[in-house]
Amino acid sequence: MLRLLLLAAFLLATVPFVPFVPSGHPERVLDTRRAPYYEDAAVPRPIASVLAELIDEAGTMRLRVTVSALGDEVDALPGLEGVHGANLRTAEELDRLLRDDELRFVLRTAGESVAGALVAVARDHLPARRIDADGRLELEAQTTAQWPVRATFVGPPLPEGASWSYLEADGMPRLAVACTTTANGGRIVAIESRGENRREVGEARGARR
Amino acid sequence: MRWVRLAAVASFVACLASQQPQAAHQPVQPAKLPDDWAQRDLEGKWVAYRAAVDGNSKDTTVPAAWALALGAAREFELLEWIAVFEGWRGAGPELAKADAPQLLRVAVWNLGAFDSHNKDTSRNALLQRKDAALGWLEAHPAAQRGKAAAIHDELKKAGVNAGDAAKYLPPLEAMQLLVPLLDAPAKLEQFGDRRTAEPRVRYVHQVLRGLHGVLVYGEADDLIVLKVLALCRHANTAVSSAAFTTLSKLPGGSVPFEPLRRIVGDATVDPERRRLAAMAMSFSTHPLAFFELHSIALDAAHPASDVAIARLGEIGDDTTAAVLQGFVVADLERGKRIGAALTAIERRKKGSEFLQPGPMSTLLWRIAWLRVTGDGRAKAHAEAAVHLLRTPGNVDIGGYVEPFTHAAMPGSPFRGEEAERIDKAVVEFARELLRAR
Repeated sequence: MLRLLLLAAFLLATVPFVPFVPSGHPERVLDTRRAPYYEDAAVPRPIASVLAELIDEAGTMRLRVTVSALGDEVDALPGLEGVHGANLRTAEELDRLLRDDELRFVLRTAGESVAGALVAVARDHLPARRIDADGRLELEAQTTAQWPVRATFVGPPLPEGASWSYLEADGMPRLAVACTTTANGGRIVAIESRGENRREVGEARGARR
Repeated sequence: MRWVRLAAVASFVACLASQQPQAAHQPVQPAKLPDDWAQRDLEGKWVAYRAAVDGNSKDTTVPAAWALALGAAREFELLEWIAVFEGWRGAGPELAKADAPQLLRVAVWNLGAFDSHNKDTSRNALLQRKDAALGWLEAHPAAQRGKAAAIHDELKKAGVNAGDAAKYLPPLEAMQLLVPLLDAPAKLEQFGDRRTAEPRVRYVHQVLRGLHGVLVYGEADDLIVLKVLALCRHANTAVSSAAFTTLSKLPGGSVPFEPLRRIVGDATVDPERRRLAAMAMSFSTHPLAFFELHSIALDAAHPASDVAIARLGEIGDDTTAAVLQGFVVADLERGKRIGAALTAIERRKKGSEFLQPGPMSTLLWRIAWLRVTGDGRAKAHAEAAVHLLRTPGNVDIGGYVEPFTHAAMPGSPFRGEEAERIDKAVVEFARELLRAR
C-alpha cells in the first residue's frame, strides 16, 4: 500500500498537464464562432476575445469556450503601456478569478445549472510598452510577469434544442453562448457579453471564422 | 494483480492531474511583513510595501498577498493609501472584509476611477451596505455631489433607510491628499533604508504615489492636469516618466493636447522626453493631435517619428494609410514600421473597430471640427469616414450611428462654445451618415 501511495505521489508530481477531454472520444468541430467580449461599462470596449466551438464526441455534443486577453479586436488598457491586441487588466482579472476559483462555466437547461470544467490555462507575457529607468520609451516590450492569457472551458453534454451556457465570474454571468443542436448537428447562435452597467452593444455580433 | 492495482492508481492520478488547471491556481497566502514593521511609520510601511511589489515584478500574487497580510494586521491606514492611490482592486476588499472606518470614503473616492474595474467594484461595495452608505452620504452633504451623486440618488430613489454611519471616517479631500504630493519641489530625496520619514523632506516615491492617485481619483480638473504637466518637466526622470504616463491614461478629452504639442516641438527638450510627450499627446481625442501625429510620422528626423508611426497603426484610418502609402522611405527599418502600421490599420478595419462607440466618437468629432473650423480637408475626410464605416461589409451601421443622431458622446476634447458647435455638427454628420447608408 505504501508503494502505491508513493507511486501516486510521484505521478501527481510528475504527470504533465493533460488537457481535459470529457469523453475521451475523438472530437469533430461542428461550428465555430468568434466575438469580442465587451467590458461592463456605459461605453463598453472590447477587452477580450471569445472563441466558441461546438464539438461532437461520438454523438455527444459539447460547447468549448476560450476567453483570451489577446486578439486583434482586443482594446488595450488605456495609456502609454497598453498595446492594441492585448489587455493587461483582462489578464489580471483572469489571474484573480482563477486564483480565487471564481470562474464557472455552466449550462442552464430545464431550470437546472450543470457545471462544465476549466480544461486549460495558457500563461504568457503580454506585449507592452514601457519606460526604462533612464526614461527611454521602449515601443516593443513585454510585461515582466507572465499572466493567464487564455482560459478554456468545456461544458457538459448539450441537450437537443436550444441551450444557453454561461461563464460566471464572482457569481455573476458575464458571458452567454447560445446553441441549437439536433441529433445530426448544431450551431452556435450567439455570443453575448453580459453586465449590469453596459448598453447591450455587440449582442450576437460574433463573426464566423 | 499488483499491476492491475498500480494501473488503477496511475489512472486515478492521471485523472486528477487532468484537472490541474483548477488546482494550479492556489489561493494566495498572506505575505510576511518585514521584521522591522513596528519601527516604521506609515511612510516607511508604504515604502516596504512598494519595494516588495516592485522587487518581485514577476510574481503576480505579491499585491494580493500584501493586502491579505495588511488586512490580518488591521493596517487600515496603509490599506487606505493603497486603495486611494492604486485603486480599489487590491486593498478595498480587505477594508470591506474588516468593515474598516476608512471603507466608505475609500469606496466613494474610487467611484471616479478611470479604471472601470476599480469604479465598479467600489460601487458594489457601497451597494452591499446601502443603509450605511446612505447614512454616511447624508451626514456629509459635500460627498453627495460629484462622483457620488448618482449612487446617492439611486439609494434615495430605492427607498433605502439611512443607517448609522458614525463609525466611518469623513470624506477624503483631493486638495489635501493629492495636491501637496503633486506640488513637488525641484529637489526630491530617495527614502532609501529609512524606516520613518523626515520632517519637511519630499521623497520621490511620494510624488509617484500622487501621480497614481490622480488616475484613481478620476476627476482630472484643469488644476490637477496642470500640476501633472509641470511634473513632465521635472529633473527627476522617474517623476517625469510617471507624469507623462499619467497624462496618457487620462480620458482622451482631458489629455492636454496643446502643452504636450509644445514639448514635442521644442528642440531644446531632451529627445526622449519629446518621444514621451508625443506618446501622451497621441491619446488626446482632439483632431489636432491626430493631424500632428501624421506630421511627426512623416518627419524622419523627428525623435518621436517612430512613436507617431506606432500610434497611427493603433488609431489611424484610411486617411492615415493614404498619407503613409504615398511616402517614399529609404530607411529599411522605418519602412518596416510604416508597413506594420498599415497592416494594423487594415486589421482594425476588418475587426469593425471603427464602429465601436469610442473610435466612432473620435472620428465624428474630427469631421465635425473640420467643418466647424472651415478646414479645407473637411469634405475629403467626411467621404473617407463614410467609406470607412461601410467597410465591414454586410453590417448595417444604423444601430451604431443612431445614438450620435441625438447627442455627441460625453468627454468632448473641446471646451466652451466651440464644444457646443462641434457637438451640433456631430449630430448633423451622424444624420447624414444614416441617410447615406
